[in-house]
Amino acid sequence: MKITGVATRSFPSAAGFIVALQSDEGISGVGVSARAPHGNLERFVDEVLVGEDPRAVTGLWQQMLSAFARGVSGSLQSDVLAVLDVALWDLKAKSHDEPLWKTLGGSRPRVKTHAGACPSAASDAELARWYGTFVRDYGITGAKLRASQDRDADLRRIEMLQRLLEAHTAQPVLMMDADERWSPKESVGRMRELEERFDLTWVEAPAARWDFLGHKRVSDGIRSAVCAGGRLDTLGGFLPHLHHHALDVVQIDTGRVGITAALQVADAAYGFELPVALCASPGNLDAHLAAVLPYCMSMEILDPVPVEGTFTTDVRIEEGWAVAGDRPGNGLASAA
Amino acid sequence: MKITGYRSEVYLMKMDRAVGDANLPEGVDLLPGSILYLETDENITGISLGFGGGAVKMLFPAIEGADPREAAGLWIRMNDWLHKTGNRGEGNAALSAIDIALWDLKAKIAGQPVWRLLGAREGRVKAYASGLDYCLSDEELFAFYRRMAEQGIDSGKLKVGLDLKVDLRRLGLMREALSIASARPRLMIDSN
Repeated sequence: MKITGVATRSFPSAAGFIVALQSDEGISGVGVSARAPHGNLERFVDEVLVGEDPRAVTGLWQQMLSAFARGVSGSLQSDVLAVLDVALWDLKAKSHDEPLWKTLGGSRPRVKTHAGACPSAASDAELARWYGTFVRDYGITGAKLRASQDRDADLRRIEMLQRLLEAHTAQPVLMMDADERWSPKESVGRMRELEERFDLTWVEAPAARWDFLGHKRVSDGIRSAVCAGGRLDTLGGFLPHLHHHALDVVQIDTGRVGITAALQVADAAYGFELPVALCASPGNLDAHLAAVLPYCMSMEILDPVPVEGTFTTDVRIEEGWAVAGDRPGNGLASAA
Repeated sequence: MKITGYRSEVYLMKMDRAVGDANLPEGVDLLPGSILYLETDENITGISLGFGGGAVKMLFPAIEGADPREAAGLWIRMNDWLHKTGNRGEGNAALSAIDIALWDLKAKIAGQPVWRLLGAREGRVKAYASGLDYCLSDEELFAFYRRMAEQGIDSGKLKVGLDLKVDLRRLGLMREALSIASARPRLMIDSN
């Protein structure tokens, strides 16, 4: 089996594109990116992947990293490697005529979910609508609030979020996202103030992504867990955090690292006895990956149903759980 | 496809020479071994070699009736199953034996060698010779590593740990023996 080429299609009104890695056996591997398509992607596939057996996912990840580091094909965003890796795994699963979770070796393709932050700055009413939809329509019992400049607004909104979630659960899961905007000291101050009244499961990105010492200072200074890693591109970026015990929850974004490296990071986290959390993924395809992660706490949901005209997914959200289906591959398909 | 049963054969193997290290310098020529067969309802059998004789019986209920392709999920289940009794020693050996047999099944179902299933680009890895050689004479030691070098193996691991002068002499012999495979053979020592 050999890779023969690649086709990409931009989404009409939504940001992002779909990638189809073509093979000589008539099946294509599909990946979806939330970024704008990159000009050099086709050239990169031509130079690095065409002619290779797509089932060699681990070997090809090394090959892509090597080529990327050498600057083959000119400038390239590293997340292009991630979407190609996702497409390769899709091909692998399709070549076995299995859903991805089965190819990975999972038993139960379901994972607890939490609502991600509203993508844009919003009023209290808009936020109530955003989270209310997740709770009412999908039974989601956990949610993340992105911090604002206004401490009182954050206190008010966390309380609102807690009340909304309590409609469906006695134990709502509340998270804060500092979005790398706070210094470690600020994170400690803001979180301690919130912790006086609320039980927060974690704070995300409470320091700059590379600042493992800062993350540790925050973790040592607050009651809640520190969850970070979703802005890191490679396994190497996680290692200092692990060596310095800077994280309580290791967060993985397959949109940045793909599936092969996500498995490596998850193994490393398991070795350090840390739970993992998953960032939002297109079509919530990470529900397939979660099936083989020994300790995955929760997966972030932004879009329970992808935007019309973009793509379809076989992952559904049921009573707060993301459940992957049995369609061969990762379940993503073009909706054009 | 479902796992329906297993067969475990436990052996005591008589070797054609003794094997030894710093813990057992005089060597032993009897080693334990086992073969595990994991059976399915579709006439495909998974096989593993190792020391998984005893505890497989205790662990098998964790996987009976399951789809063998779910190797990773079943590992988690077996690991949890062993939580109270501990996953060291016999428990770990059984878990490993079953895990290997499951991946064998997964690969057979896919009609592929395990290396391709795991996603490698090629199915080869650099090898080194390991003599388990503490109880061999100097001549026997040299002959072993020279035989390995004749097959192109350029690295060797020597058993050491009780007498520095002896260890240094025998390291020299191993290096000399391997020198036909490489001008700079890689030398490792294991003091157990």
